[in-house]
Amino acid sequence: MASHDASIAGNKFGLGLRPGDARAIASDPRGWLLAQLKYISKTPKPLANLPTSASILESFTEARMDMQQARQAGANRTDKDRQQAFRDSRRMMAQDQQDNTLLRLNTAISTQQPFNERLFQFWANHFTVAASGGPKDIIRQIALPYEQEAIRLNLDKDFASLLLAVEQHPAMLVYLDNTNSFGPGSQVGKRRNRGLNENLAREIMELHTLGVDGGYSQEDVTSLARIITGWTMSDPRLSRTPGSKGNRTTGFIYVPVLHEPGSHRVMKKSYKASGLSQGEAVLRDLATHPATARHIATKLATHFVSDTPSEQSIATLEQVFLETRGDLPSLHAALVDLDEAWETDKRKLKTPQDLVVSTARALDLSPVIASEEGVATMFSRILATFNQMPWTAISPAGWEDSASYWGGPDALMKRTEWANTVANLNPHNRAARDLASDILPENTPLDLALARAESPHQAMTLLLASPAFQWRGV
Amino acid sequence: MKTVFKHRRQLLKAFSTAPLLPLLPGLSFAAASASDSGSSQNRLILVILRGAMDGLAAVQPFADRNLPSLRQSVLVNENDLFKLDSYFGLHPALGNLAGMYQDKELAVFHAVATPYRERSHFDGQNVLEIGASTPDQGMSGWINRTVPYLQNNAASVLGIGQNMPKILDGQFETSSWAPAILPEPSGSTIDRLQALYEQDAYLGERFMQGLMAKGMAGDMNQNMNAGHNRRGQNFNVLAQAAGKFLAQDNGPVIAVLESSGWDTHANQGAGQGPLANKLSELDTGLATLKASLGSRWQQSMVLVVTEFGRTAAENGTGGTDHGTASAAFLLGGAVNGGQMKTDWPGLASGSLYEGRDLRPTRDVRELFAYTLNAHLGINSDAIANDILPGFTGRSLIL
Repeated sequence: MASHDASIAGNKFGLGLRPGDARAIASDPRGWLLAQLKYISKTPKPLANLPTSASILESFTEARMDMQQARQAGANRTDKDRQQAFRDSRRMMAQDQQDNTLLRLNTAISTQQPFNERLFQFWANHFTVAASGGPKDIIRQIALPYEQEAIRLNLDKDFASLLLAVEQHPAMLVYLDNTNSFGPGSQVGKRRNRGLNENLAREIMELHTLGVDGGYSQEDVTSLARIITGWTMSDPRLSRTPGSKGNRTTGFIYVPVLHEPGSHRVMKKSYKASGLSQGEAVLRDLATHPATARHIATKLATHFVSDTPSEQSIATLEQVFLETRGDLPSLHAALVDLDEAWETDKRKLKTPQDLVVSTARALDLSPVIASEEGVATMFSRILATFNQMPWTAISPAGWEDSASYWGGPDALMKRTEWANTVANLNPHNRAARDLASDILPENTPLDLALARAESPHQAMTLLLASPAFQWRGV
Repeated sequence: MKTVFKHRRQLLKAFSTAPLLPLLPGLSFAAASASDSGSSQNRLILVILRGAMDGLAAVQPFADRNLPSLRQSVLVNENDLFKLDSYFGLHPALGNLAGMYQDKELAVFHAVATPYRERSHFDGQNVLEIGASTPDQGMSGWINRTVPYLQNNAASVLGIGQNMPKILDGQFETSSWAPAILPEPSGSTIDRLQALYEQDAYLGERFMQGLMAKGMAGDMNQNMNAGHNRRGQNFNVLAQAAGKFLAQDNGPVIAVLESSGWDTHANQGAGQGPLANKLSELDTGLATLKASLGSRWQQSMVLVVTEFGRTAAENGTGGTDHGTASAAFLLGGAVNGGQMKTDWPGLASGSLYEGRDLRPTRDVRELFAYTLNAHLGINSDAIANDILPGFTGRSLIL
């Protein structure tokens, strides 16, 4: 039997115990979690060869220019050719997204540091991006590199570094329309009569930092929008403009000719005109604002304790955030120290992604996914069935984090159907009872049900569809 | 383990050929080429009833005078049975089978069992499927070992349904087919899950609502409910598909179908109830199979077997527990039916196996060997040495 604490560590803080894990961590479950943290920004093996966002954007730009040339030379090409080229590019994008979905899942399924991976997923969801067609299709291609470059690599730093990396990444800038925001008083804005798009500025305040009740006003939003004009996605034309500064990994570029000149006030503080660093200064202040501390503490507690964490847990995290000025390793360690997170009945319902990942970990499906195309396809598509495909969250707030959202009647039916299907994949022919005892704490009704099952397949279905397996926690 | 992978690959081929999003198996079976037009068009369909069918309820020995003292709430009124002879009667839910018996298309066997004498579903099914005397997780399935003796062999054996059963598992290639939807768990699985979810304060109610919305809710303390009608669709759909495949000229020679949910420990009912519903589902499915086979029915044998039987006496909760011998059915246009075959051991307490179960007097492998030899023309040496090694039982004559 997995001990109570091993189950909390592996199933609630982690991504689901694998056979053997519980024994290995039983002597010091909290220590096992804390020891992972020093590797939190290490690139996971499956992502070792991930191309950079910049290189993807570059080839995307080339393709676009090809297309423009083709359009200009339209007389020489039949419509059929063009349609075919369009279809090919769409197909390639869909394929890329499927590959990236699988890479993301594989990373979670195969990780030896599941606490780190859960933290990564938490932050990736906090700073979610989604592809929504049109010019935003490019997000499909760079979402995975974005998560790597902007999020994972900054989880060993402070919240301000994370925030800056995110807001200066093309994926976010495209997603929340900052690439379409022009300083009305900038060179280009004046010449082309273009203006602000407030979308990113608003979500930075409402979702990424202060929270909706964080005390900012419409003026603050507009002001921040002005300040971050010129933060955009690299492009050969833009990089030739005077004073532009790019990032060769992410493909971010700061373009002065798009930037609104002058000093601006945000949250009662004036920020002098200083180009790129003006916006960075605002973000640093927002990142350590008390409202941000409260907002982040509440979200973390809700994810790691329960849908309704106690005020005490929130306050503890808030305090750590304020005292360390948003030091992420300190915050992550503080989660482990929240006694409430280890209490019985403080449970979190697995999201579909949690369910899929924990299932694959329990059954040790990594090698099967790697070697069998059919299984890989199934895994890259199953999250669509559950409406939780990566990079498709319907709002910039990211996926919901509550049992009421993910545990509806129909969703539970889908979960049983999934269990019934995936129970066929049992590469080691493990008996469900043995597996249950490896990955779950003592559960007499479940154990009896598994013992009395009509067939090994039914037993495995019962285990994977059981209420006990739907929850993170005991 | 290699053999396990083999089977999974079959299943997964289906995954990878699924046309669009909501995943899952399309058709992985490719019809055999008509390369060997002279080959026999005989067909064998094996139906495995998982969970242990209560043979004494399906084929009730109404004239056995010990029966009323053993069974009360699970006993069907003698007048409601379809009488097969002066001693045995088919359960009233088996109307289609009764008709086939009259038309001499059904032979009924009783007091049959595998050589397995313990009472674990897993091991019992394992023995049934590997065709050996004792459980062996590593051994291949006996239908798989039949493949090399069939013409067109790669395309000659077809598993119907999601779950690649042990009986098809092994080094030889078999095909599989399942409807292209995320398959619903069986009614029995749903019942068991429902019991687990009832204990979850948060999810219990939601799970129940989900079942009701799908028309799958079963009140396990009541005998009749609407849900079972819908659940029965699963088997019927699979039976129809099996028939269609095997009806084709040079189609698969053998198909394996499964039905689960026969583990009636509580409130199994008599003329009506959960067991009656299962029997009705089976009966309807077999009639569908016959219709779907069309004229191929005349060249078909359908063998219906279960891993073991249930206790002769009913238990304290209106059900029956794991037992030993049960009944089996052999039907089809190619069957010399209208026969009730049994060496009836009787239900007197001294005759019961270990004082509780119907005593097995025939080995179910007699039926396997008979269909392989008399119907598919596989010679008895191959059967004795390879397909059913160690089986030295009697030859069945029909």
